[in-house]
Amino acid sequence: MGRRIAFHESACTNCHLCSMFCSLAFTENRIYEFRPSIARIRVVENADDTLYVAHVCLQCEDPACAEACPVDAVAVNPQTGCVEIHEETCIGCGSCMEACEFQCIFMVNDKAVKCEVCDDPLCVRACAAGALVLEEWEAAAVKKQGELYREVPL
Amino acid sequence: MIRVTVTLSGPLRNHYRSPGSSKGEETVLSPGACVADLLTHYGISRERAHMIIINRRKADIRMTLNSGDQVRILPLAAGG
Amino acid sequence: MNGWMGTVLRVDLTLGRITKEALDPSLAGDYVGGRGMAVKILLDELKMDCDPLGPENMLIFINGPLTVTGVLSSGRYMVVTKSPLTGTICSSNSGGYFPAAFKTAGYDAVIFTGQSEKPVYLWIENDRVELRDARSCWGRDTRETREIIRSETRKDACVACIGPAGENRVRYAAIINDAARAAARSGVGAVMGAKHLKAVAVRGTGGVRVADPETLLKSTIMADHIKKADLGIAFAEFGTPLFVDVMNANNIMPTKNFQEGFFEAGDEINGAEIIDRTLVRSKACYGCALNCGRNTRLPEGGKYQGRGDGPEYETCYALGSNIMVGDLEALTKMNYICNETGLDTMDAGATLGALMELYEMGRITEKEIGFPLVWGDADAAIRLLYMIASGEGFGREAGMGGKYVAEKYGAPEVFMGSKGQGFAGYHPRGMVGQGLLYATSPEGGNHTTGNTIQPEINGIPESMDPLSAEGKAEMVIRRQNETAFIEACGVCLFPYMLMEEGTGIIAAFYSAVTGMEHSEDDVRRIGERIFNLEREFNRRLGFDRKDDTLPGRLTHEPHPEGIAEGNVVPLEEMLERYYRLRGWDPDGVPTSDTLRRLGIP
Repeated sequence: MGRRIAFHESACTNCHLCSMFCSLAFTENRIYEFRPSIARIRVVENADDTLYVAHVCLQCEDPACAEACPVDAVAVNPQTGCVEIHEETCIGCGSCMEACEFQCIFMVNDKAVKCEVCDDPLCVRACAAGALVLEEWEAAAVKKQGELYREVPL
Repeated sequence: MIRVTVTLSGPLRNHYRSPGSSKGEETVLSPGACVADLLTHYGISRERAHMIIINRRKADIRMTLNSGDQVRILPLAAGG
Repeated sequence: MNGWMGTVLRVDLTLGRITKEALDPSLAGDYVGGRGMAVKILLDELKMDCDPLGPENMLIFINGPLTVTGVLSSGRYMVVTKSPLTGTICSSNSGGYFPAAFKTAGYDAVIFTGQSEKPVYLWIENDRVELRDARSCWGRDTRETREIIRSETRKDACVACIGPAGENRVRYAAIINDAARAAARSGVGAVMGAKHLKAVAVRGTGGVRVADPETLLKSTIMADHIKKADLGIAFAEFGTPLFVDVMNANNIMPTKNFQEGFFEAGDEINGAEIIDRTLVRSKACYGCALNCGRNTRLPEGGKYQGRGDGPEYETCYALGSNIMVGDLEALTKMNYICNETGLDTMDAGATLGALMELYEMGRITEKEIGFPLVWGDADAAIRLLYMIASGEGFGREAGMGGKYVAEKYGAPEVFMGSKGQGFAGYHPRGMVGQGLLYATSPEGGNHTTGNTIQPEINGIPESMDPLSAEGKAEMVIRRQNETAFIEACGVCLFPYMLMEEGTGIIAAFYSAVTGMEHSEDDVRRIGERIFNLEREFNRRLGFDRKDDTLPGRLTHEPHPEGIAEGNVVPLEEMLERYYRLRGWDPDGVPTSDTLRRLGIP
C-alpha cells in the first residue's frame, strides 16, 4: 500500500485551513480562488462540540466506491495504493458518494471528487495544528479513523 | 541556603520540579544566587523568560535573590 | 475582482425589500472594507441625528477583501452602526465561522435599514436571499435560536443572532454568532433588536479570487513559526486568559472598578486554571492557526452548570477582577449567561463595577436593586445579569449602562469608561498610552482600536516606560492607524498587532490578494484616512475634545501600590501632542488641510 492523508482528531482545532487550501489547489483556468465548497477535505463538528472531524479519503484497500461505480471510473492505483476517480469516465451519477460510508466523496461540477493525495499536499502544509499527516497506509489506523467518520458524519 | 517561592506562568509551568505544583513552589538556592541562576536551575532559557517579577516589582536576570522572595516568571504572551 | 466579492446586499426591513448592488470599486480602493468602508457609507447615507434605536439608523455587517483568502486569521467581520450606548460611530468585531459564510455566499456587506413590523430573520443561501418570519425564535436565547433556525434552513447554516438582551434593547446587547462568538460592544445587539431583526443565517459555497497565491502560501509557513513560538503556544494552549498573569504581574489588572491594579485571586481565573478545571479543548475561528478559543464546560455536580466557550481575557477582567469575583466557575457561568442572552461581558462588568461601588457608598440600596450587591458576590451578579437581559425590575435601569446608573445615583465619577462605553482590561495608570487610546477611540472605552500592550508592556518593537507620557502620542497614532487598516481587511487583529513586523505582513498580503501593490506606508495612510473619517463622523454629532476624557480616578487618584504605585495618567499632556501630530486643532477637530491630505471630501 502507499500513503494517505491521516487525520489526528485530538489535534484538530476546527479552523478549516485544510479545506481552504485544498480548494486553492483545485481552482481552474488559471484563476486562483479559495472556494472551500469544492475541497476534497471537509471539516465538521459533532452536535455537542466535543469533536472536530476532517473527512478525507481513507484510500480503502477494498473500496466500496470502486465497487459501486457503474462505469468503472474508480480504481485503486497499483503503484500508489491511492483510490482514483477517472474524471473523463465519471458520469456524475453519485453512486460512489452514496456507497462511501465515511462520506469522503463529494460532487463538484457534476463529477465525483475525492482526495487523491497530492505530491505536496496543501492541506498538510496549511494545518498548523499538526492534525494532518502524510502517513504510510496502516489498517488499524484506517479502521479507527473510519469509526470516527461514522460517529461524526458530515 | 535561601528559599524562594517561584510561580511559572503558562507554558513555563512544565518546568516545575515538584509534581502537582500548579500555582507555585518553593525552591532552595545557594546564598547569593541571582535570577539567572534560578533560570538555570529550572532549565528555562533567558529568551523564554520574557518577564521577571520579584515581590511584585519588575526585575532582571542579574538581580540577587533573598530568602522569602516571591518570584514570577512569565513567557511572552498577549491577549485582547 | 480579487479579494472583494463585488456585491453589497441591501435589506430594507420596513418594506421587506432586498436588493443587490455592485460594489463601488473606488470605495473599495480608498476604504478597503470593514470599518473603513462602513464608516464611509454611513457618512454618505445616514441621517446623522437619527435615534440609534429608530428605523433611520443603519446596521452594517461587513467583512473585508482578505476574508477567506488563506492569510493569517482570515475569518472576521464587523458590525458598524451609530451606537445607542455612546451616540458615536461604533464598529464591533467578531470571528467564528459566520464571517466566512457570508463572504463565500457572495457579499462584501449586508446593509440593514428601516424597521420590520414583525420579528424576522434573514436567510442567505448564496444568491437566494429572503426575509423569514422569526416568531419561532423571538424570545429565545442565542443557542436555542441557532438550533431553531438551523432546523428551518440547513443544519450547517451559520447563524448570527440576538438573544433577549438585544430584543429588550439593553444598551450593551451583543450579536452572538456560531453560539459563542460575539460582536459584543457598543450595543449593536440593541440596534438589531430595535429593528426586529432576530438573526442572519447564511450558507455560502462561492469562491474568493486572489491575485498572487504564492505569497499567500507563505502564510502557512508563518503560521507554523508562530505556532512554535512561545506566543503561539500561549494562545493555543492557554488562550487569552493567560494574559491575566501578565496584567497582574504588571500591576495593570483592573480590580474593584479600577480602584486597584492587582487581583489577589488572579491565579484562580487565569489560563492555567481553565485548563485544569473547565477546558474541553482549544478551538479556532475559521482560517486561524492561533487557536485561542476556549471550548469549556462546568464540572458535573458543581454549583453552576453549563457548557459553552470562554471566558476569554476581557471577561476575566470585567466579570472577574473588576467585580472581585475570583471563582472560575462562577465567572464561567456568567460568561455563558452573557453569550446565551446576548450581552457584552465588558460593559456588563463596567456596569456591575459601578453598581457595586455605588452600593458600597450607600448611593444605591437593596430597595432599588431588590437584593444586596457587594463586591465579589457572584450569585448576586448572576441574578442581576439575568434581570438585565430580560429587562425585569432593576435590570431595566442597569441595562442602560454604567454611565447611566452612576449619574442617576449621584456619583458619575464611578463609571469607568469613556464616551459612555466601559474600558477594557488594561489599567491606564500602569500603561498610560492605553489611557490616551481609550480617550481618543471613536467609540470611547475600547482597546481593539490600537491596543498598546505590545510596546508598553512587552517591549515590542522597543521598550517604553509604561508610566510616562514619552513617545505615547506617536505610538498610539501609529497603532490606531495600523489597526484601522487591519479592521478594514476582514481579518483578526491578533497576528498582525502582536508580531513586530505585522504591518509589513498585512501590506504584503493585501497586495497579494488584490493585485494592487501597497507598502507599509500606503496601508498606514489608508488607516489614517479611516480613523479621521470616524473622527469626522463623530464631529458632526458634536463630539470633540470635551469628550476625549478619562475619569478622575485615572487622571488624579494615584495608583495604590505595585509597579505603577503613585502613577496617574497624564492625559492632557499626551492629548495636546496627539492632536498636533494628528493634524487636528486644539479642539480635537481634523483641520481642513488634514482632511484634504487624506482625500476626505
